[in-house]
Amino acid sequence: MKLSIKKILTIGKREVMSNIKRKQFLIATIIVPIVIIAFSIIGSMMMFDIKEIKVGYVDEFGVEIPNKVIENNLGKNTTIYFLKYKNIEKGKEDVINEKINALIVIPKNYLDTGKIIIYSTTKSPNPLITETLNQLLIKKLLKGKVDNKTYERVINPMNLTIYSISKKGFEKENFLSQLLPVGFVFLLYMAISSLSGIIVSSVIEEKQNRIMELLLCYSSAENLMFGKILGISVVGLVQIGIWVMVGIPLLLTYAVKISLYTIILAMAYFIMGYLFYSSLLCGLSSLFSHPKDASQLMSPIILIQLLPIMFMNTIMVNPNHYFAKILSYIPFTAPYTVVLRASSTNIPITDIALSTTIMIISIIISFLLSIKLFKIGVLLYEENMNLKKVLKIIFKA
Amino acid sequence: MRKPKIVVKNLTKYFGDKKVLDNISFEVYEGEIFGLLGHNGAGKTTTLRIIAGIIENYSGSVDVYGKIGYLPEERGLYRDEKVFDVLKFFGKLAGVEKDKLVDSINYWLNKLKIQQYKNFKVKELSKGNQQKVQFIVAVIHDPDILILDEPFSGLDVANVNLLKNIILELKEKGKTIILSTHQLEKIEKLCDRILILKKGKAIHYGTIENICRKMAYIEYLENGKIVKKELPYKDALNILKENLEHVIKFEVRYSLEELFLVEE
Repeated sequence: MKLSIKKILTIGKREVMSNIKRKQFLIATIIVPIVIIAFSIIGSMMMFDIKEIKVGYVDEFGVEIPNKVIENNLGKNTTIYFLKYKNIEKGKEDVINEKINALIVIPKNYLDTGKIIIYSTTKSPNPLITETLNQLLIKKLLKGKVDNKTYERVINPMNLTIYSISKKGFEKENFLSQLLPVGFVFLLYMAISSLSGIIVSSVIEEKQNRIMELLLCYSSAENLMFGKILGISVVGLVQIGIWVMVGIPLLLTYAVKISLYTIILAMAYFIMGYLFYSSLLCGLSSLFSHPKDASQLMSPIILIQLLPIMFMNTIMVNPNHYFAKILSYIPFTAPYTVVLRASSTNIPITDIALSTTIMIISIIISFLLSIKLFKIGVLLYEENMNLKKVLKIIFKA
Repeated sequence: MRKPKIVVKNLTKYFGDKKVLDNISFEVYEGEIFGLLGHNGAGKTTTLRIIAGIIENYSGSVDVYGKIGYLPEERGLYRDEKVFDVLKFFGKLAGVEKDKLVDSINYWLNKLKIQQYKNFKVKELSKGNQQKVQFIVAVIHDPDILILDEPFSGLDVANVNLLKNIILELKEKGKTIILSTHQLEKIEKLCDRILILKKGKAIHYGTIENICRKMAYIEYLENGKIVKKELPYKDALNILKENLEHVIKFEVRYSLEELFLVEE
């Protein structure tokens, strides 16, 4: 293997500069997250930015419903006016004519069935209505039967504090610190999906522009591939860095404590996952001459990553289940699974060691295979490359 | 005795089951211009790519003594980048020292009369000027050996002459040049020696004069049929002696073009 650090750095630097200048990079890195955050903030503000809601009700059970209730959400007051109806049909007519926002019907046999009917022009009525109704029903059901303290506990039965304990000691957990690994998993998924797009366009563009031949004259295939992976990884890390920088103030605001061990584990698996996927995608994309063919055949690889995300709940609730363990030993899913498991339990050190060893071996195999594919692929201008042809080349390599 | 800069021995290359080069051997000496001739699919580009180190996995041996500069047949540059940035990147990749790189870029841009396009994007240049940029990529690091695959294709007459003069200048400076071209008049005027390839096999090798003199064309009657052959001069002479009464035509070939056409 002919490696030259100087050449790798030169290729990597060009890759960084050319990708950072691309419009797609700027859109994916800055504009898309801004738009997503802005829309979610505006969405929640709009959801609670309602001064008043008019709700009609037909109460056959006998819940004591006040004339109005004031609810406070995100610092904004919403007054819910309750209007009594004797006739359901009249109430439905008023809903259709938008005189009231919704009509609640509490049947006579509510205690036996728990059945409540809401008529609304929207498929999902405003949550403020259902939440308020829920509290009114509890109040009615418990009135005169329990004291105030019991009533409070029924409304808010758990003020939960969780301590995770192990032989090393115990640690207080909070909700956000459990959510962080989930955030990590999505971050890694976004990073690898974005990486695949950058690699495919970079390699195929150089093939289409017939630059590969020239590059291979002045540099070995190994230098070229390592340089590309280095450059594209830097681009990817810059992208993630920007996203994380946006997230840090949020973490500081909520004083989220994450153990150093989890941070190191997450970083190690992030790097390993990134190296595994980037090398594999670089080698494979060199076989294609058109981005469309490449993306069709590479999408299954990208989709394998979704497996731990689809089973996220199972992995977090039962982190030592054999299914979670198996996913920790598959290089495509290990980076996600190990971090998800680590957020819920102390993974046995043997599991971590085995998973890490498999990852490292897989990265080495992926690099060696990709170098072979790269050498074959970069001068291959095959039209209509399909899975059969790709597999034939892989087995030959 | 002249020093060989490229030594190719028994070079054979397969693409899949297809043999594209069949046991080729030749040497290219220091300070000479060596021409590679052949029709499409003869194996010229594959030979040049192997010498340039782009294609691996062949049998035989290829020894190259010196730094290589390469102008590929399929021209390609980063189209969305500025001419200066492209040259800087390839210069660095080819190992030009940082303090000499800018001077080298400016020297060659002036030499090829495209200094004014230095800050233009490659895609904004005409095809001919893009080709000049590509040529600069091949020479920017002052290589000892220059591999030029079809260097004159796509250039107008003025630029062909400009490039031809630069190639001759490089030869004067002691550079070794190996080039392939379909334009035979360029070969005759530029090359010291040539190798003619046909379907992956080397069929003639040496100076143009010797190759042409070595060949003869003969037409004679054999069993009532006219036989036409292009043969080495000695063999043709033997046939002439043996079939003196039946020979219709006998010519000694001196024209490379005729020789090249007959080979087809």
